[in-house]
Amino acid sequence: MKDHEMTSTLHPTEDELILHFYGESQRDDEAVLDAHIRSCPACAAIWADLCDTLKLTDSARVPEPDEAFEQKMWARIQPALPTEDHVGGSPGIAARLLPFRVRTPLRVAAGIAAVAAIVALVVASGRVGRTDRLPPTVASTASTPADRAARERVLLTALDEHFQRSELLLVEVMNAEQSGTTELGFERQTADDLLVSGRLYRATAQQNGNVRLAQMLEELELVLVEIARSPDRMDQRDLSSLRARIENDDLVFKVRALTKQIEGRQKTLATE
Amino acid sequence: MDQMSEDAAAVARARGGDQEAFRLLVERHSRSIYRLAYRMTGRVEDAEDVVQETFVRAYRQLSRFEARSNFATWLYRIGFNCAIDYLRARPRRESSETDDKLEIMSGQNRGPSVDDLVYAGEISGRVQNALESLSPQERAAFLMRHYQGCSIEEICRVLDLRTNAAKHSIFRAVRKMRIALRPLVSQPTR
Repeated sequence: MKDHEMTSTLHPTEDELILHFYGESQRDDEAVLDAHIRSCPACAAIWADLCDTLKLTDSARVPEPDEAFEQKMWARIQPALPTEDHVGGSPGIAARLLPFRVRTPLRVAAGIAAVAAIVALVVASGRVGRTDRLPPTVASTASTPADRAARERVLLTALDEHFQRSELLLVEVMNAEQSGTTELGFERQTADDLLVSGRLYRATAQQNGNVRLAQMLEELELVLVEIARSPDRMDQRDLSSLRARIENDDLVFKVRALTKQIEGRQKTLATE
Repeated sequence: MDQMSEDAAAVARARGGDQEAFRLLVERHSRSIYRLAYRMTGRVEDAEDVVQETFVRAYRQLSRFEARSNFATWLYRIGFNCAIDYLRARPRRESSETDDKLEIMSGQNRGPSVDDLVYAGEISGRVQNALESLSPQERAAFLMRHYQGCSIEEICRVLDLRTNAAKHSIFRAVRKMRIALRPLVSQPTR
């Protein structure tokens, strides 16, 4: 804040609130900002949103390495250390030649973990695959109703996105223009993504004895595999065959039903 | 003897070529460097590479370490810079997943604490995506401020930035976080 000009009517910028959150405002500004936030509902709402966001950021996990991590790292580090002559001095040949190892990149693990965990939770509770509405709360270790609601909102948001993508993909394939050969590059990539989470979903359903859901997911998986493994351009006969499978299995309807259940629960949650 | 003194003693021995002393430092600090490296890179394998490179660089620079300084802080500084270099050198991610990875992730999610995994996993994914949309330097500035509690002044020193540049890196990161996590936060916004 410039020249301590904050008054009760001058709203702080987002940047000023961020600095305030981290205790980086000037000392005089801190008190003025606090007073303003207490007296201004609009700024109080933004402040609460900022605090909630940064509190959520703290929840981001780092996978804890196993007990042998330190030994494993030492086994990697020791051979790469320069010889005694070079300690603290210019790098030895081995050190100069040591590049970062570049590997074939993998997908974001956290995203996969989220989907897998969501799948496990939903399947374990037997919610998806039934025709009745989703139950009002998600089993949770959260201590307060607000925490439980926040957790359920996270769960439902992720599920909603996942099933909406599945539905969109199927509809796109059903409506793809059919003339000679059909370009399905984007659909292939999407199917590949959905295949990963779908397999997790099915495996967990099987583990939890939810036969009906597992069967439905297997049907969906067969179609996803077909799309993901298809050539860049699909000929008319293959596309017709794929569409017939989607239609015969009522896949669009089944995925849409799941999406509706989730959306219904989200609406209920928003009004509670 | 407190940890700072123990570290200083180990550094003194390691400077003389005592690798066993350096091993103690690796055992004491590799886990915390791994955590910062994971937040920077988003992948276990990459984080381990950064840990390795951090300690190799630290070993080469032991003569520059001042005995009165905090070894952990000094090492963090090297770790962040290694992670920045690593991210700049790393090719962009592929979007497909291997079956092996799939099985590992599937197996990890069996058990009674699945609700916690859902919550933390979803947030982790969104936070990581938001972080990946930042430049390595911006990412480092935000992580140092938010997770390590470093002051703007310290961030400037470690990353060789001017005050305004460090602040703006943090502002950009927080804005990205707000966008990424907005569906999960119920408060109204301006």
